[in-house]
Amino acid sequence: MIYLIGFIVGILNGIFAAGAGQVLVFYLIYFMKVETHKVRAISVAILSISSIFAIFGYKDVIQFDLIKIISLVLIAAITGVIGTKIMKKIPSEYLNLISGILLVSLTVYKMLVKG
Amino acid sequence: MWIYILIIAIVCGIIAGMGIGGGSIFILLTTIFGLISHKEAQGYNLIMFIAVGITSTIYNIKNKNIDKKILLQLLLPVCLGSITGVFLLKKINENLLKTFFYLFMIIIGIYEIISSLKKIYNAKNNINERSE
Repeated sequence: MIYLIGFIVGILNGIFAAGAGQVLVFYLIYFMKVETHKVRAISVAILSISSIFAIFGYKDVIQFDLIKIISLVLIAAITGVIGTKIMKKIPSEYLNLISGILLVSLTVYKMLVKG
Repeated sequence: MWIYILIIAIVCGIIAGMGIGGGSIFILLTTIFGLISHKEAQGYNLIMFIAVGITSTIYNIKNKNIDKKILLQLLLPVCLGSITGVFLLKKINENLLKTFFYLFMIIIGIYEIISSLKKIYNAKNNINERSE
C-alpha cells in the first residue's frame, strides 16, 4: 500500500505542484500511525525529492531567470523560519482550520469570479 | 509585476513555514491577481519548495527526526510517480489542469476544515470532562 501511495503522491506533486503533502500526511498518520512531528519531516523530504523531478516539467513554461529564482529562494528560506516560530505559538488545529478556510474560499473565488 | 509576486511569496513563505499549505495559496493568489500563468505559478512554487525542503530535511536528518525506513520505502515510487505526473502535465491543457487543481484544493480544504473542527471539538470535550 505504501508504494502505491508514494506513486500517487508523486503523480499529484508532478501535476499540481501543491497539496500532495496533505495526502501523504493523512496516510502516514491514519494508516501507518507515525508520530506527527516525524510525519512532517518525511513529507517535506519526500516532496523535495519529488519536486526536483517535477521541476523538469516546467522548464518549457518558466523562463529560468537566476535573479528571480534566487530572490524567491531567499524569501522562502527566511519567511519559512518566521512562519515556524509563529506556528509554535498557535495550536495546530486552529492553523489547519485557517488553512482549510483560506484554500476553499480562494479556490471558490477563483472559480466563480476569475474563471 | 514582479514586486507583487515577491510580496505574495513573503506572505506564503510565512504560511508555508507554519506548515499549512503556503504553496497552494501562492498558486491561487498569483493567478487570482493575474500576475503569472497557472503553470508558471506551479513551477515557481516548486522552486521555493525545493530550497526550503532541502534545508529543512538536512536539519531533520541531523536531529534524527526522519524515519529512514519509511523514507526509503517511499523514495522509488514517489520518483516514478513524479516522472509520470510530469508526463501527464505536458499532455493536459491549462484549462483542464486548472479544473482538476481547483477540485483537488477544495477536497483538501474541506478535509482540513472537518479534521481541525473535530480536533477542536474533542479537545473542548476533554477539558469539560476533566473539569466535571
